[in-house]
Amino acid sequence: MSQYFINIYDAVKTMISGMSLTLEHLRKKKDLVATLQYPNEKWPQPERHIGFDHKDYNVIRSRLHVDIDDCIGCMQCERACPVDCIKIDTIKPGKGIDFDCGETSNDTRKKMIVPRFTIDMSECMYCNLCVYPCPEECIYMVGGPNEPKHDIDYEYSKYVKHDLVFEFSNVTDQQIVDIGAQSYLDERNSKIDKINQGVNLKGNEPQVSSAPTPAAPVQASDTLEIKCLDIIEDKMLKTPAKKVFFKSKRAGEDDIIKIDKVIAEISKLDGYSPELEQKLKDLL
Amino acid sequence: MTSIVDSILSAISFINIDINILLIFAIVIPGLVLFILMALNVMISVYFERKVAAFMQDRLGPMEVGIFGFKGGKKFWGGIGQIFADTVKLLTKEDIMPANADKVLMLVSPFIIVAGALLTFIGIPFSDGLIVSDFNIGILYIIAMSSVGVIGVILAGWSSNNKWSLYGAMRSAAQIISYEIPIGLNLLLIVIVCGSLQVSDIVQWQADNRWFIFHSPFTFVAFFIFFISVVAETNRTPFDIPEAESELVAGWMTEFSGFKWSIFFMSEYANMLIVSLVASFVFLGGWLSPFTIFNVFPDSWLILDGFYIGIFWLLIKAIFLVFVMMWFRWTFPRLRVDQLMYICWKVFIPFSLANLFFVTIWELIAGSIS
Repeated sequence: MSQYFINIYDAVKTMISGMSLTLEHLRKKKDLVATLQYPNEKWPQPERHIGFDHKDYNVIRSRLHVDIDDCIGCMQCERACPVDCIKIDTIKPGKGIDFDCGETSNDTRKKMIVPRFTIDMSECMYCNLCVYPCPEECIYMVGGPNEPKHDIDYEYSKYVKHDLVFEFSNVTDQQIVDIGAQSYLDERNSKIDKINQGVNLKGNEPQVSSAPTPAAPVQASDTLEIKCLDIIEDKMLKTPAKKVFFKSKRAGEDDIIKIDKVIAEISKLDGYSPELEQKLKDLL
Repeated sequence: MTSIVDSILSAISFINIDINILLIFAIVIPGLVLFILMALNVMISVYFERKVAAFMQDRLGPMEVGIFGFKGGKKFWGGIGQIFADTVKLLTKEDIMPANADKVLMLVSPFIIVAGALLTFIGIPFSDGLIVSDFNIGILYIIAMSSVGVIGVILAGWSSNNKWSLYGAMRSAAQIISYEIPIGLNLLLIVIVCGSLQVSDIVQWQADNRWFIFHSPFTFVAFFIFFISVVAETNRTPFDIPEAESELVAGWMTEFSGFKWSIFFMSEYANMLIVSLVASFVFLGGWLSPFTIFNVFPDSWLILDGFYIGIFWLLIKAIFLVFVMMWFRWTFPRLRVDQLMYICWKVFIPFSLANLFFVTIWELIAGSIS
């Protein structure tokens, strides 16, 4: 009997302690909430303790970045890229046009402008091969040894796939006109128009091969009667053969298929011989 | 002003039609209002519950859906548009009917449950005189109507033609019928003390004397037994063995989807509001302001009583009790079936009976002293 009241006392006590615990969590929700609203908030990148500093790597495989002011448009990176994810267009100033293309940070005079420099990071395989040929060291992977130039970007997640095509060029339309390349601009605009209208651009058209012409339909021949199976002498074979034959006849199948099915059925059974198969085939 | 039906009748009685036709209008209007109230209640309660649950578990709850670009940040209003998103989702869902189900019963059962909840609202006051009909057997009527739902539960479980549904329905029936007894006994206690079954009389007694929860030690205990029992009767955690997700999928609601399921949901949250309102006006003084607990300064403007502020006080009490139910839900694990029956038959009912005995003695002694 005393145990009964002790149980009730324990129940009330533990109820109160449990409820005060959850109430404490409700009250302190600001400090205790563990959820991070991911796209809006991010955890800071954790510190690494692997014996040497992040900057001491020789190579880092992360997002490609181009310091476009240093790019001279030599297209060596485009040629080096094994997956063709780098696309570069260059324009030289026309004859007689005085246009200052600027200087790189290594004091190299630029001879042309780069109106297009796209890197498709969804295709990039992080081989780092485009980095080595660059004479101006303007294309590199961010972070790691290049930490002073550009902070590491370890996720670069996007909502749609084509947002992963990064455009690095900062050439304005006015500059293209000034350099005397109105035709380039027109061509580009017409391409953009076509894309907006949903027209397939040349080179992107899917290969279409003409479909094979269908063969002339074969008339189902239905001349065999069920009695023709009487040529099978063994009763143990005849009954299943007739069953299969009848089923096939009902389905309106061809004579050849009927006989094939019969052969397939009885070939599992005892008493089956190649002579019998030949006999059946002779029926056709 | 005695009740809503009476006041509507007197307001439209200038129209020269038969009184019986007017009565239909006088009944349909509060019915519609109550239905809209229940729909609003389920929309808001679900959001409230999700937020309370999230904060108690160190989460954020719904955060993405705002209204017209309004997002309240990491606070209670964080995803307030979720209310409407949930409603639209539920009402536009496909309504699936299993091939071997009993089609008629499956169609009828949600409406029986929601009708039970709606009918209970007839006897539930929202303020002094703000009650659909204030009849003289109010408490008895509320107890009777709140157990109508169990018919719908059993029909739902049977018609689904699913073993989990039937298990859930059987458990639900056993649970609801068992917990009717302590609820009835504890309300009987109040009826003995104040001598009336009428809702307005019970609150008037508390206005004249003191709130029932503080009337005597026995009514104090009775409040807790009553409240835990009604939590069990609304099939909520920790007494949710009828729909125990980890055992029975969703109990008697397993085969229901779309609109029919949302009707179940509506009745569940309406039942929560009903039992909280009942507990508020029976034990916590109804529409009386909290300053009248011990009736220290009667008839002063300081106690903030009145018709309109009465609605506020009653709803505050009810919403607090609804919050306590959610608090229970996110604190306690589910009881086993035998534990559930143990609590009802071996703890609540003996205590209620003892309460009933002692409270009569208490009243006799208190009556003879005064």
